[in-house]
Amino acid sequence: MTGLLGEHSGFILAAYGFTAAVILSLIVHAVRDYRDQRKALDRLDRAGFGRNSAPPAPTRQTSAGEVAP
Amino acid sequence: MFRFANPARFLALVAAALPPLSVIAALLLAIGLWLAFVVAPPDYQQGETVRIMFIHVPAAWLAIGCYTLMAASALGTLVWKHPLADVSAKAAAPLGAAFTLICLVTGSLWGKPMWGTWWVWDARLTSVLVLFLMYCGILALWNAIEDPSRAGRAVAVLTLVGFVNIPIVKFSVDWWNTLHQPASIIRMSGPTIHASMLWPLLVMIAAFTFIFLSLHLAYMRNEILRRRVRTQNLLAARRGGSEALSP
Repeated sequence: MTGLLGEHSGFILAAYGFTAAVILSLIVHAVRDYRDQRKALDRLDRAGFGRNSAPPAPTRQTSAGEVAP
Repeated sequence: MFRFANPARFLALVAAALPPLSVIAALLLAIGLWLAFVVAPPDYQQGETVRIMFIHVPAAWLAIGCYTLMAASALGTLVWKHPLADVSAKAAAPLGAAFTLICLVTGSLWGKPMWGTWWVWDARLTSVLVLFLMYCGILALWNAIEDPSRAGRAVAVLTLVGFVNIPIVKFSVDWWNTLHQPASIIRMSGPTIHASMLWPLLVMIAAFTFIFLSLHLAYMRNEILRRRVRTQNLLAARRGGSEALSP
C-alpha cells in the first residue's frame, strides 16, 4: 500500500487514519451515551420515578420516629 | 418543523430514520473510498498526495455547514422558541468541532509535503483555527451552565455573534493573498477540477454529509433522553424531600 501511494504515503495514511479514529470515536460515544441514558431511565422507572410509573407510596414517620407505609 | 417539536414524536422519527441513514452513509463511504483510491488518478503536480483532498475538503465543508446549522438552531431557540432547537445546537457542536479538527490536521498533513510547512498564518488557515476555537468555546459554555434552557439561550447568542467568521472562512482566499488555493468547486465559471477527481470528491462529500446527519440525529436523541433523566432525577429528589417533611 505504501509503495502504491508514493513517497508521501506516510502523510496520506496518517490523514486517513486520524479521520477514521475521530469518526469512530464519535460513533462509539453516541452508542455508549445512548446505553447510559437508557440504563438511567430504566433505573428511575424501576424506582417509581419514571414518566409512566406510578409514584411511590408515601411513607409516614410515627411518633416513635419509625417510618411506616 | 413544529410537527416534530414533540420529543416523543421526534424520537420515533429518529428510530425510523437512523438505520437507513447509517446504511446509506456506509455505502457512500465505501464507494467514495474506492473512487478516491482506485479510480481517481494521481495529480500531475501533487502526485498521490492529492488523495488527502478527498477527506480534507468534505471535512472543511462540514465544519462550515455544521456551524451554519447551529446558527439556524440558535435562531430557532431565540426567535421561534422551537423546543428542539437548542437540542439540535447542542448535538451539532461536538460534531462540528470534530470535523474542523479533521480539516486542520489533514490540511497540515497535506501542507507539509506540498508547501514544505505544517502551518502558515494565512487567512484561510487562521480563520478555520478561529472557527475551531469558537466550537471549543461553545462546548465550554454548554457545560458551564447547569440548566439546559438557560445554557441554550446563552449559547444561541454566542453562536450568532460568531457566525461573522463563516463568510470570512469562505471568502478569505478571495479577499486576501493566501497560500491556500482559491475555490475550485463552487465558482461562477464552474469547477476547475477534472471530472475524474470531481466525482470521487462529490461522493465523499455526500458520504461525510450522511455520516454527519446520522450522528446528529443520534446525538439529539441522546440529549433528549439526558434531559428526561435530569427531570426525573429532580422529581425524585423533590419527592424524597417532601416525604421526609410530611407528617
